[in-house]
Amino acid sequence: MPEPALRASNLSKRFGGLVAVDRVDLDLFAAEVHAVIGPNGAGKTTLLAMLAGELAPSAGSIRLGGHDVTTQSVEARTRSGIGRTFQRSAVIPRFRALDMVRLAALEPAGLALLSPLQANGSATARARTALDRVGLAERESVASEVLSHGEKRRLEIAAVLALEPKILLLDEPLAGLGADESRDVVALIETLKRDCAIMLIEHDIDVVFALADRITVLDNGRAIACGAPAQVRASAAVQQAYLGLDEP
Amino acid sequence: MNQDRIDAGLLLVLAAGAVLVPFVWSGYEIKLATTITIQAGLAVALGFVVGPAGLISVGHAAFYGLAAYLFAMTAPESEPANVFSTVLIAIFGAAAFAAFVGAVSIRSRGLYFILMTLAFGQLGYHFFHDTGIGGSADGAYVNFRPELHLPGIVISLDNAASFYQFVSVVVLAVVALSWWLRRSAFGSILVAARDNETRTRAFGYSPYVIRLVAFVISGAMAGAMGYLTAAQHGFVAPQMLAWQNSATVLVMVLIGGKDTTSGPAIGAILLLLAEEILQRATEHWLIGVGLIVVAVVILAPNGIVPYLAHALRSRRVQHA
Amino acid sequence: MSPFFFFVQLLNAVQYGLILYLVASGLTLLLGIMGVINLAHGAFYMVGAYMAFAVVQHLASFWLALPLAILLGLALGALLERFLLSRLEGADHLSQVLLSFGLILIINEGQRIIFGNDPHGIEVPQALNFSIPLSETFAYPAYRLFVCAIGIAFAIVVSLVMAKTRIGMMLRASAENRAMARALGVNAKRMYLGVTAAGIACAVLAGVIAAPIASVYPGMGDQVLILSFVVIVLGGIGSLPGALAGALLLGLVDSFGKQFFPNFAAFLVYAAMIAVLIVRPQGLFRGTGT
Repeated sequence: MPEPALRASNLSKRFGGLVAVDRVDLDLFAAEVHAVIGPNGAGKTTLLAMLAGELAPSAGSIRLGGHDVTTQSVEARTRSGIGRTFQRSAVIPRFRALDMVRLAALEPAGLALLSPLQANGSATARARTALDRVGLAERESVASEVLSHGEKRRLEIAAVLALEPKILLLDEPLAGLGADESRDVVALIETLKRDCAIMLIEHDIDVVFALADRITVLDNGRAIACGAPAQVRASAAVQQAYLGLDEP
Repeated sequence: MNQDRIDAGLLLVLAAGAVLVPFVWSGYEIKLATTITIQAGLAVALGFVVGPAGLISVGHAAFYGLAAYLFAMTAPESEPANVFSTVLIAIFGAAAFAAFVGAVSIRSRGLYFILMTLAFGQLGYHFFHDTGIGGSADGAYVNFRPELHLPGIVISLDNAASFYQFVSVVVLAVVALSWWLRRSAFGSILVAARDNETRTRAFGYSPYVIRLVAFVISGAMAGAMGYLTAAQHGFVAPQMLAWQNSATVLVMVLIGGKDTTSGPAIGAILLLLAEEILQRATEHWLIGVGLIVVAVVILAPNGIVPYLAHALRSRRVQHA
Repeated sequence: MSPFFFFVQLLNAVQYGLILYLVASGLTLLLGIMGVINLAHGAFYMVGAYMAFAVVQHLASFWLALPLAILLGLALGALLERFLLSRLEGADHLSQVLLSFGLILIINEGQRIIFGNDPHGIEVPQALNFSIPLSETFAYPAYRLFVCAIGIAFAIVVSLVMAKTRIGMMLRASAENRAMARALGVNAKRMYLGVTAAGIACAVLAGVIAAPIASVYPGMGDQVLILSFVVIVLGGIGSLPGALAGALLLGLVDSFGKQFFPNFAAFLVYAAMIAVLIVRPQGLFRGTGT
């Protein structure tokens, strides 16, 4: 059994009296999509925020390739190989698409910081490759804020790709996308699987069962099931939590 | 791009001024040009943190004043100081203080950052005004203009023309530095952190570190301007660090626009020229300045230069 | 040191602190409820002092200056909000800082135009022009006690309004969480107008009652402004009880500081302000959270 690329153990998050995440274990393996599903308010985004470094866990630990990163900042964690997308597309308003991806692709060492972003050959090359991969090559000179919702989502994925992460945390990447765009993004995630360990939060159950190699189901902060899709589908606990979800 | 041309224009004007001004002007005009050029440099220094870094510092005059005092305190009593040694001490002192202020303040969000820089500015003011260091409320004197010690020759900066040339070169360097940094990857990261901090952190950058570096550089530049002012007048006073002074420089940044290199410099030039004109019209010229400030904030909050540029562009589109 | 001397210093501290409280209360409400930084607050304090001078000069009555101050303050505050602050709706702090700084220049210079550059004194009103003996050698001016009385009365009225009335509840809710209060139906426009008018009126009133004690001189608002910021940092932005506590604390530091270490008092005040901003930005007197 290979070592997990990321191992979260006994992760909990309390906000005062409210327990948002309750002693959850989560393992992300390379070349695998691990979906996290659950009703609204189950704690999925909170869990992701802890893995990304945005929220400090109240208890538990996160290990990245053997190193304990529980208290690492967001930026340090990114440099350690974790990339994430946001539920609501976060672009940098006045940056052109290419520049935003260049920012992600840049290796901020000494002299590279002092010359213009646009002049950086390696960052530009990696940025163009990433944009090409998500199908935004022709839109590289467009200001980020002007892009359509679907394009913004793809831009975010391109930017995250340019980081060359080992671990990818995707927070509802399909939200607000039309059928065609959704299909494109799903295909993209399939190809991304080759290079990284992916955690996917998604509401569209069909997509989840199509993409995921492993599923964790959260309910009220607790993991009530974890395993291969077929297992999870058959689990009684899951059926209870998702009353009405299964076809009669 | 339009803006690039304005920026380049400013650099050209400064360079040309360094050469031509001593032939064209003398006496009062050269002294005024010197003051305006220094204040333009100070505005550019502040503009660098207010604009790309998004840090509203209302205590920047403290770095300016501290450097001036360091010069006054390290300048020898009975002979001219050496520019190189004294300017290094002054700038380093200002940068060190900026590093301290920045390290402590930049962790705080918007309003609290403003209050902290205000407090630090006052701290600096009272340090020199109350404690007896540097002559207290009376200020301190520098008895001689510093000299430029180059290999082989010593250049005296005693006359107004050569001092003006010296000032132009220093300010040119400051403006060029601001220009370079703004368009560098460092500048892009600053702007990204300002416009979407979460996203920028998720790309692996630390906004705190980036902003702190920008703040220190800005403090050093402001310090250089303080040194020049002290060298120009031969006198430093606690007023140089007061919050009213910081606010005035902020006004210059406002008028010219904070998002370009040349904006703050143009703002400084416009404000000081307006003051000159108003002063000849009435002894109550400050009211005119106040009205200008209020008008610009309400009508052209991004600065006069961007406002005019925008107006011209829409005119052109209309007639197209 | 004689206990009476100590007591006199204490009274001075309280009196000075209460005046600062009057000024700072407007500032903290503007900042806490409307998110507006108003650097011109000190200038309005000066307006009050000069108004008192003008009223005493032309109408020969100090007492008239009090209601006039309140009216003038309310009017100025309303004008400020209606014509200037509302234009900055949603604008960042930079615009507010610059706008209010421009106002300072206008008001300060306007004062010079009307009254000139010389400092002036105002006589303490006849009715209060006596001292209350504390011992054989110490007597305390009745007028200063009157100032304390006004400050205390104001504090009591304000706390009653905040605690017992609907308006007070809305103000407190807005100070805690502006967006939430708006969602709950608090009429922002009217409240902002009221808060600004009341806040400026307090500053003007403070200037009037301070005038017979401190003299009336150009730029007298600058010092009060900065100290008001210290007060609201110490007390917590948006908190009126905090402003009272912070102002009294500052009054103590000022009175005793000037006596014992005049060279360092001001420096220490700002060092303390910085320390509070770092360690307890919500203020010394509030619980943690928000």
